[in-house]
Amino acid sequence: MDASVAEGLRAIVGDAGLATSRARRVPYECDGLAYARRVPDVVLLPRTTSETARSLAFLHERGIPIVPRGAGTGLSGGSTPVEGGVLLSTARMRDVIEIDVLNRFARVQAGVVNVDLTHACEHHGLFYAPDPSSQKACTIGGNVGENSGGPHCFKHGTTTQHVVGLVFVTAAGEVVDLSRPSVDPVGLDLVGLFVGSEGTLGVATEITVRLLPAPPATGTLLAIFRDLDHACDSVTDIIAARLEPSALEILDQRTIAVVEASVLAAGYPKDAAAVLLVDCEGTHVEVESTMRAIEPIVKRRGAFELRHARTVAERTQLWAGRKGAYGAMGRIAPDLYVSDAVVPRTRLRELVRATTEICEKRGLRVANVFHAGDGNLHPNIAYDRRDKDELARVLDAGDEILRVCLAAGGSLTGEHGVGIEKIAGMSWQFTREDLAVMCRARDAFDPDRRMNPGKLLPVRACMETRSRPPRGEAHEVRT
Amino acid sequence: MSLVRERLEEEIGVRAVGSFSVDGRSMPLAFANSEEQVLALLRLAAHRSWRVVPVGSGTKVAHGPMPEKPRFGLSVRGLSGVTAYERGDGTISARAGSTMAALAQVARSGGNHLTPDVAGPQSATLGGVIGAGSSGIDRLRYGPLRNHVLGMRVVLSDGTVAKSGGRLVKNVTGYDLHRLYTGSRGTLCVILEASLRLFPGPERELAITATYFTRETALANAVAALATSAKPTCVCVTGPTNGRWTLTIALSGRGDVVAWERDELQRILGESVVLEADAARTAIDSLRDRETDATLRASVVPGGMRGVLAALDAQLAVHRATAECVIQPGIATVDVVLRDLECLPADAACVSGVARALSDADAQVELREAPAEVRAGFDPLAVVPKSARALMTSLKASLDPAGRFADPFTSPVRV
Repeated sequence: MDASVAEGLRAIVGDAGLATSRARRVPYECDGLAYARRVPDVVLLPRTTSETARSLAFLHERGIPIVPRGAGTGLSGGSTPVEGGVLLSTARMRDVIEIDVLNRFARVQAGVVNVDLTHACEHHGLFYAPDPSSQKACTIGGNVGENSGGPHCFKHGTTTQHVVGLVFVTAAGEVVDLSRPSVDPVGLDLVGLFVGSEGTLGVATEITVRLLPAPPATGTLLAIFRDLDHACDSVTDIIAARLEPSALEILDQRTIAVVEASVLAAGYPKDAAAVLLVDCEGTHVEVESTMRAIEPIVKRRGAFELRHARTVAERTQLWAGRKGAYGAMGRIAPDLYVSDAVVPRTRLRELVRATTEICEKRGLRVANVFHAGDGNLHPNIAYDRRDKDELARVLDAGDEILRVCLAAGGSLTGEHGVGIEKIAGMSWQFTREDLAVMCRARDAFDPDRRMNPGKLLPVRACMETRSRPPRGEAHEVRT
Repeated sequence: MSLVRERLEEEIGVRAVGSFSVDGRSMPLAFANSEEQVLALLRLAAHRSWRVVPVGSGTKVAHGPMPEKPRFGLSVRGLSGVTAYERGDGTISARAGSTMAALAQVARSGGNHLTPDVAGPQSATLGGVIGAGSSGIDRLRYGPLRNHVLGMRVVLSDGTVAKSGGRLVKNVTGYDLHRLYTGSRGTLCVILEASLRLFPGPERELAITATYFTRETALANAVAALATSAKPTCVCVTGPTNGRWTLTIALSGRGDVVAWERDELQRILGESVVLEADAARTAIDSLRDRETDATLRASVVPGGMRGVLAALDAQLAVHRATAECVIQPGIATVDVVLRDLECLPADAACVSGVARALSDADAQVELREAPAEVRAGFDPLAVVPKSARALMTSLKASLDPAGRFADPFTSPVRV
C-alpha cells in the first residue's frame, strides 16, 4: 500500500491510532479461524466516530478495502483481511457513554467488552443479556457484526433483539446516526438489517442496547447422563413440554474430560457420557416450578444424578466449565475448528450423532459442547493447522456437517457468522435469487463493495447482480 | 369501467377484483389466488408503469404515511394455509394470506401460543401484520413482532422470488432481510410466506382490573405493578370512562406462577377484581381490539411518558376536545382516540395539533384513523437523520428500482 495512505490516516487518528510495522500488524492476521491468515496492510485504531468517518472518507477516495474488527474472537474468519487493505479495529473505542437506568438502555462505543457492560450496570440491578462464551474478550461492536448469541439467548434472544440504536459509518465515510431509542423503527428497519451483516454494510461505532432487570432468582441444575443421546432427547422433551428455562447446554464426554483436566475443572463427573446444564431465571416460584417440571423429564431420559447449585459460587463453578470449554480444548491440540450449524430441536439426537460420526470416520478428535436448547450444534474439532492432511480432513468434515444439517432443515450458522469459513455454503442454503437480493441490499450501503470484501456473500452471486440493468430502469419480470 | 380495473379483470377474472379506498380515493383491489397470479399482476403493473399497494386485510393501509399515487391494491388473502407447523420445535410457517386467528388456532391445538395477539385476528392476515409491523397486546411479555419473524419468502417488483432466514429459532445466516421487510408497509416487496417463533401455551390466563378516579393514580399503580417480579402479558390504563380510569393487568403462564403473581399484584393494587378464563380473555380481547379505534399512537421511552401526557392534556385543552386513551406504560405507548371527529377543519386542527405536540415531546407518532389532510401534512420520518433517510431511499431504489410499489416512507405524498 502506498506510504501516503498511512500518512494520510495518521493525520486523522494520530500515532496511537495507526499500526504500520509488521510486528504490530501480525496479531491482526486472523481471528479464531486460525487456518486462514493474511497480515493487513495497515491497522487503523480510531478513537471516535468522527475519526472513523474521516478515515473511511479518506479511504473511499482511494478505493481501499476496509475490514472492521472487534476483539478478533470470531470463529468464521470474519475479520481476516483476505483481500488486504486497512483493518479497522475498535479496540480504542472503549467508553460506556451512558447508562439510562430509568429507560433501561446503555449507549456504548463499539469496542466495549461484552462483560464490562454488564459489570457497568449490575449495581443498578440490570444486565446485558447476550453472553457469548468469549464475553470476557469480545466486544459489543463485534457482537453486532455477528449477531452473537450465547447460552442464555435461548431465553433472551440474540444480539439483534437487544440493539435498539446504532451509529455507524458507511464505506463512503457518511455517519448514520440511529441512536435515538424508539419503540419501533421509524421507517425501514436499518438497524435490524445492519446487525449480523458481518461488517459488510459499514462500521458500527456506537451502540444503544436494551438492559434487562436482573432476575430475583436463578436456579442451576446439572443433570448427568451415561448416554449423550439421552441428554439430547431430554432437551427435546423439555422444549416439547413447553417449559421455559433460560439456558440448556450439553457437554459430551470428551469435553468433560478436557475441562476437568484443566484449571477450569467444574466438578463434572469424569465417567459421565454427557452433562446437561440448565439455568432457570425468574421469581423463586417460577424457578422452582420450572425446575420441578424438568427433573422428572431428565430422570425419565436416564439422568442418574442431579446436582443443584445451592450458592452463587457453586453456580459460577458449574458455568465456568461450560464457558471455559473452548479454552480447555487447547490441552489436546493447538487449534480448534468450531462448527456452528443449527438444526431443528426435534432432531438433536440424530444430528449430534451424525456430526460425531462424520469426524470420527476421518480420524478426527471431536468434542461436543453446544446450545442444545436452540438446536445450535458446536462440534469442536481439535487439530494442528501445520498438519496439512489433518487440516484438509477438518475442512472436509466441516463441509459435510453443514450439508447434513442443511438436509435436515438446518442452517449454516447460529451465532458465529458466515465469514470466509462458510461462504461456499451460502449457495447450498440459498438460491441464486436469494443471494442476488442480499447483494442488492448490500449495494445500497456500499456499491463499491469495499466493506469487508470476500465475506458473507459469494462473489459469484454478487457479480451476477452487476449484470442487472442500472437502477431506475424497469426490469423484465421473470416468468 | 376504469382501464386499471379492466386489465386486472382480464388478468385474474372479474370475480377476483374488488375495490378499496384510501382516504376516500377508491381504487381496484386485485385478489391473487396463487403466486403465479401475484407474478402476473406485478408484470402487468411493470408493463403499464402502475404503482401497486400490497394489502393484507386493508385495515392498516390508512395508518402512517400515505402511499404515493397507487393505481391498485394487491391482496394475497387468497394465499392462505399453514405450510409447516413444528409443534415440538415451536415454529409455524404459513402463506401470507392466512388469518392470525387461524394460525393462533393451529398453535393452540399443539399447546403453543402465537404472538402477536393483534386486533381483529379473524381478518388480520399474517402478511398484513408483518408488513405493518404490528405488535399485539401481548408485546410487554413477548416483545415486538420483529423478534419473532424467523424468515420470509417474498416477491420483489421485478418478479424475483427470494427468501431470507428460515424456520429455525436461532439462525444468523445471511442478511436479516426479513427484519427489513417487517414494518416496511409494502414499500419493498409482497410477502408470500413467513415463519414465526411460537411460545409455550399458557396453563392459566387471568386478568386483574382496578378502577381509579384519576389517571395519575391508575398510572402510579401500573408502574408499581411493573416494578414487581411478575411478568404480565399486558398492563393497560384506559379511560376516562364515566370519569374513571381502569387498570387492567393480564397474566398468563404456568398455574402456580400465575397464582403467585396474582397475589403479589393484588397486594399492591388493593381493591381489584380478578377475571378468570373466558372472562379474562374477553377483557383482554376488548383492550386489544380498541387499537383499531385509535386516532394516533404515540411511543416514547418510559421516562418520557409524563411529558407526552402533559402535552396531550395541553392540546386537548387548547382545542376543547376530549380523548380516550389506552396507555401501556410497560412499552411506553399511548393510543389516543379523539372522539366525534368528522373531518371538519377544527377537528383536523385538533389532530394536527396533538400530533405535533406529542412529537415535540419526543414521542414517535403514528397517525391512524386521522383525517387525510392531517396525514398528508405530517411527516413521521422527520426525526430520521438525512443520512439514514438517504439509505432508505437507496435500499428502495436497489430492491424496487422502477418504484413499482407505492412508497409511503421515502416520498410520502404532500397535498
